[in-house]
Amino acid sequence: MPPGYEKLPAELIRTVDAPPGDGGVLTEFKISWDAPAPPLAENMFWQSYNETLNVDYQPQIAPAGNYDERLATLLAGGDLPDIVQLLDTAQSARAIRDGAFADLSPLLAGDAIDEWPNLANIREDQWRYVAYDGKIVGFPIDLPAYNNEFRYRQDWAEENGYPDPPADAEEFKELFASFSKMGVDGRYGLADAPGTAMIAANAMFHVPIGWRYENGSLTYHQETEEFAAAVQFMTELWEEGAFHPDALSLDANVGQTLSMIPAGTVGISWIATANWFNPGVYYDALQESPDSWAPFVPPHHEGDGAGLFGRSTGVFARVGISSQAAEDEERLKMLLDYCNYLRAPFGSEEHYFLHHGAEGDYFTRSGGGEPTPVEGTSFQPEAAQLTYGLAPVVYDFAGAQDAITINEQYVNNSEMDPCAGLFSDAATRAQPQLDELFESYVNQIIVGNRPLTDLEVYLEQWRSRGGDDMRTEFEEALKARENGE
Amino acid sequence: MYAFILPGLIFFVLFHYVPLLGNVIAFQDYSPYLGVTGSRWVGLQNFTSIIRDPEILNAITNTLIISFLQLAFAFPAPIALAIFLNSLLSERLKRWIQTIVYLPHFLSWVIVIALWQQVLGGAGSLANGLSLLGIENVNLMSDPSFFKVLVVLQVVWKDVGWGTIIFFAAISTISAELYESAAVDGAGSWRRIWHVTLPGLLPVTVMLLILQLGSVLTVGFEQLLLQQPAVGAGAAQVIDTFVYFRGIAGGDWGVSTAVGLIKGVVGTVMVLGANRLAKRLGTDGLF
Repeated sequence: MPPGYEKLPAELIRTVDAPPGDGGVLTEFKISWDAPAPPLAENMFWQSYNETLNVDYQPQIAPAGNYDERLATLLAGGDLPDIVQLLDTAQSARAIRDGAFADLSPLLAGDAIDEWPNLANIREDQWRYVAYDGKIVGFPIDLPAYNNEFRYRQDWAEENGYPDPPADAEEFKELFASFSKMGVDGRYGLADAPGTAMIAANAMFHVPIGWRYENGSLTYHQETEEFAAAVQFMTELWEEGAFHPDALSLDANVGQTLSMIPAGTVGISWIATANWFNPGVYYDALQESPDSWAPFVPPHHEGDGAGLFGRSTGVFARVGISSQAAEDEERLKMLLDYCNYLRAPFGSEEHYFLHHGAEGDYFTRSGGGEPTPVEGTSFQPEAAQLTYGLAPVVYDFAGAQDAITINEQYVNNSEMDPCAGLFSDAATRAQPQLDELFESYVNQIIVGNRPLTDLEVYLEQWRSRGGDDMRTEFEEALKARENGE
Repeated sequence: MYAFILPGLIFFVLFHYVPLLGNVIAFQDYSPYLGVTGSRWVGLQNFTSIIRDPEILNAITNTLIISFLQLAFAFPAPIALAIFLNSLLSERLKRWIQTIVYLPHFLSWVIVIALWQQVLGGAGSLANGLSLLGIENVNLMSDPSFFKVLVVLQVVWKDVGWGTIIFFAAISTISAELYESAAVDGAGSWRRIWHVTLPGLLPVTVMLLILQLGSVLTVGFEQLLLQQPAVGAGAAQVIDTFVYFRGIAGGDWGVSTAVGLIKGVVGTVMVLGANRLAKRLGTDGLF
């Protein structure tokens, strides 16, 4: 669970002695889900960022949907930015393998890392997942062990005679089907399929996370009886009319599906916990009608306990330093100083600056109290794109205690994919096609265009079209990990 | 005078001929970071892995079916519309209709499909209307068996108006005297279309048909990619989406390029063949 803080400490600590930059240009390729930040000339935060860190910061920002194409273009262009955010995609795995990013191990091994105390604070388990082939090729972007939470429309449920959250799979089905039948135009219990409902179904039927590893051999979660039961449950949800009729299209249109949550046209949500506590559309929706979205943890289908949830590795992505930039050791050290600044912990002056801007620009803070916003300014839209990355994830909002209590229930009932952090060439290459295969079979089974028995046909295809290769490669990697490391 | 050719020439050399060199990637295990010079040569391996992929047959079949349907229905549609519009007497009405039918061309596929979803989707107006009549659960947008017809209908709706422009231009070159003398000889309006307008449109039609045959393996990428989740790859996998999932999304650039190369060769053969056939049938052909 991420650490939570309802308040800032009265006295902020200082973790960095001098501005990290050398006044020159610093480029970074990064991913973003936010609207584009205003240009430098109109962006107070960007200006103070350059000044405080002593850099001429020139980010190249890829919207999440275009990330892969943009990265490929950058790689092919031959002139990589100094710092690159590397998601777990085929493209970046390949670039790392080809040596596009500097091996930082020699500089950071042993006590050497103490020169960068904030980087030294990176957790042991996170180092394990950012390493590639035993080399440190970057720093982690944090991801909580379980980042999201389920909520449902409690107000509708009460109206329909369900005062409590669903206690088993049957109740889950009844509840969400009842939302679709309330006679309100455009209102449905569930929106996208497989989507959110499949995640809940997998949890309720205790489908293994990723793979099941027993006696040295792997079974893919979709090959298990549990998964077959979850799919069957999905077909029942569909038959009961719980879904939006265009559920399959909605699954491919994340933006539209998400917009149904604040719009009040869907009864379930599965989004990052922090969304309900930090200002934004979901927060606003909840403020407007506090009885609406209540958290619930999908139960085990028989009603005896909670579902089973997938725990993350704690790493969302890597932040690598380009081999080209690392050739000059002075520059490499400067870039490490820079990363060290960004990684500053909650309660430090650096972290405060990255989340509130310079004193008086967007927030003012006096006497160790809470920061008060400066009227007429808006911090998030100007800063969010620029600061996303290495900063440690913390729940630093009012209600952090509640958020953690909810989060604990997920983490305590979670397992991690035994193959997490392992590389399989077959997996990176074949995954897009296998996802497509899943769509063609499982999606169509769910909406009744194919019989449930086609699940076997799907699995046969899955095995022959890369699944078995993946299994072999992962089994070898697991054995190597057991014997080696 | 020849200087006027320059901008166009530079454009074609820079953006059409120079990129042809990139086709060498088809014979490599290409890595964007290592570049053409650093990547490993793999001979024909990319081509064999395409042929061995079980999905390719489905992709080719779907592509050819959709291509044939487009040739049969979407290609002649603008001719019919142009002739119809040409027969309208009221200039005002004609301009109105033109404006309306041109418009969809300027919408991106994302918007077109969203609009169709609103009308034909499971929560769309058609489904709502039919449910009033007691017919439930109509969702034409996620019916795999209806999908190919849907694709062609969408293409017709989006581009029929735009397609009329070139036929209008052709119609306007047909001499009015031909119509007059045909009328004097007692030809009614149908006979005038059959014996004057259509022969007048023939050269343009043949030219466009030959060009269309050149792109017979390209049936629209976005349109299909966007709708594939709803109907599955069985119905919606075409060569271009296959390339996307097999090559681009998996970072397998060599395979993508190999497919592109094959498509280019097939397209060239089709254009040359169709051109020769057109000449043999007595028209001028394209070149």
